[in-house]
Amino acid sequence: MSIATTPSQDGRSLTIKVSGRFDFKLHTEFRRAYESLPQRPAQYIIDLGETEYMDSSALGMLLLLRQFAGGDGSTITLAKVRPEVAKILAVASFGKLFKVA
Amino acid sequence: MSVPVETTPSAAAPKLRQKVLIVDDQASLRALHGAYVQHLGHAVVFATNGLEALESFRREQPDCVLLDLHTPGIDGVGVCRRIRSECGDRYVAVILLTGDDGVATVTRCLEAGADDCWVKPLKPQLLGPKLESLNRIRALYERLRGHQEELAAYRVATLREQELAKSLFARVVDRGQPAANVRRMIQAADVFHGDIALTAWRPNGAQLILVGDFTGHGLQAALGAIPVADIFHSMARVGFAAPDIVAEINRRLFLCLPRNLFLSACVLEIHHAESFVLAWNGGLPTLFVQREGAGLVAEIPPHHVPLGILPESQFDASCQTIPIKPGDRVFAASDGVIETANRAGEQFGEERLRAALCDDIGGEGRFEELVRRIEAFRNGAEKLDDVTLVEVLCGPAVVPRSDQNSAKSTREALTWKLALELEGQALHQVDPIPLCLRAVQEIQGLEGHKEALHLVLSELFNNALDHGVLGRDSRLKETPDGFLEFYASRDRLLETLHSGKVALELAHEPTPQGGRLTIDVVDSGPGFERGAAPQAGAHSGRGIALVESFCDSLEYRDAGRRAHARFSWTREAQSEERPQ
Repeated sequence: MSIATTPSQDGRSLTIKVSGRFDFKLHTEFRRAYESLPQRPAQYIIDLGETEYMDSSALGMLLLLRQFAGGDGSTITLAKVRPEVAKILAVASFGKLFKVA
Repeated sequence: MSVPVETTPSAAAPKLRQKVLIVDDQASLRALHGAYVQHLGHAVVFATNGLEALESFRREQPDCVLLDLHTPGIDGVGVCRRIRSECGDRYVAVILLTGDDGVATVTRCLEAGADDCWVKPLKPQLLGPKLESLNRIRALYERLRGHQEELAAYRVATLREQELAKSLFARVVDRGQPAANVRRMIQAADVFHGDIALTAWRPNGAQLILVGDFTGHGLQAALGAIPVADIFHSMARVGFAAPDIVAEINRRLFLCLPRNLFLSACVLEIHHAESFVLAWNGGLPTLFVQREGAGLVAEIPPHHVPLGILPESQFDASCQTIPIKPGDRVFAASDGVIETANRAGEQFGEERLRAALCDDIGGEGRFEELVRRIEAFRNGAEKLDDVTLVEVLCGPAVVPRSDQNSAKSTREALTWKLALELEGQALHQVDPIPLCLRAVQEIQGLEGHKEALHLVLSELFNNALDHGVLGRDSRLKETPDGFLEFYASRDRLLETLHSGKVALELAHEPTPQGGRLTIDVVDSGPGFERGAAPQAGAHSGRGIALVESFCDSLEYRDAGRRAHARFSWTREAQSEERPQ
């Protein structure tokens, strides 16, 4: 599985971990990871610790999640970002839309 | 003659009723086998020799053929081969009936294309299960064929869609002549790609360049590209500046694209004569300004969110100002260049790009050399993304002379007036020149005078704003650094501007020869003595000299607060840039 979903115990936070290449092939799976929850969490953590590469459609998937989570009012953290992925996020100035940790 | 026999199906009807062709010259066996098959509920047709068998096969289109190996005329093997060559991709089970099942016989039958060979006479108990087993194969075969046809239909539809996207894209994006000072390479990874490179000239001689990379490919990207190219060309034509164009493109894409699609792009506004570039970069890798002998003299890193993501209220269209010198080259590359990978999976990377821009190659050949190095690095490995590279040569020499014969106006000279007054923050937030120019074009045409009018209007307006409202000294502009500083500090002053007005008044009337446009630009400042007005020669005074050269007359009235210019055109001489 290249996408693993872990809700926090109180259900207020959802961690989605993406491993390997984060590209258009994960489109459906990534969407399912947050759309199928019975209760919407207050915040999302995208664990990119094992993400080797992101393409522009992956950036698009993050934008879809952002919209789903309420746009400007959403709290989404991109966590454990590796240097090669950090570069891709920086080029698109995604630091202005997401918390990058 | 083959005789179709209508039969009454037995009580035990088969899952799928088949039509079986029985070929045998022996009447008794024909009748026996026919009775078995009929008893199982299938339809039967008969043939007594090879030739009849083939005729019957073509006419009756049976699902299964029970074929005696030793038929008179063409033998069973021959008939079987012919059936195989004629049935195409329809599934027909051909069973050869033999006297023995020795290795030689079976081999001979299977080699002829038979599905099996059975020893005759057939055992009635086995015939049913055997025909059922053939049916299962048929069902599988039909299902597969159905999928294949469906796939083929999808493929055709997809290709057609991609062709449509390609032609839409080409019509919109590749519109117009490419500029002589711009070289571009766009290599598509897909049948059709999402990279675009647009160029246009503003009426004042500044050049606008947009290099962009859409998320996604095919129709998706083409649909987004249409408004982008439209906005870019139509706004540039009437003289809007880069920040306005960028903001409008973002606004439109935000409205029409789904949230996961966006355009990573840079927009450059190159002032070749004034030696500076305004640049906005949202999501494209760092652009470089390269100077022969000096290497990379400036960088334009991505400092904005790409287009189509942020709503208008949060969008930042502010541009970076970069000084340039004649002969400088600006290089823009999509991420496809940096991420071009060789077979080992290693990427071309920014360092190789920098090296190629710094190496001692010589201006003219650098673009080709860079393309060659990217290709050599990839060395035949698969193209994973679109690869776009754009080079723009800078300097006054590249600005094209206006095509004086273009766009003759045949419109009748009309009488009309138009006034627009901006006060305080309106002077900061609204660029009145494109608005006025568009109005003049809508009402009066004057396409051939577009550039002259743009120049006259913007020089007079900027003078009114800089000297009348902001009270600034144009001597600041006399050195190249001062020139840039002049514009940078103007932005700062405008941000906090709360009073002061500039009015533009246009009046047009017919004359016996054509028409006359009177342009008044009035500011709320203290005015000035004529002698204190900017003089020709310096960066700014040249502006007034140009205005005078395009107009019949230019006077300052009301102690210098009102610039009054008269611009005449003659009907026959619509094509002439300067009417007499």
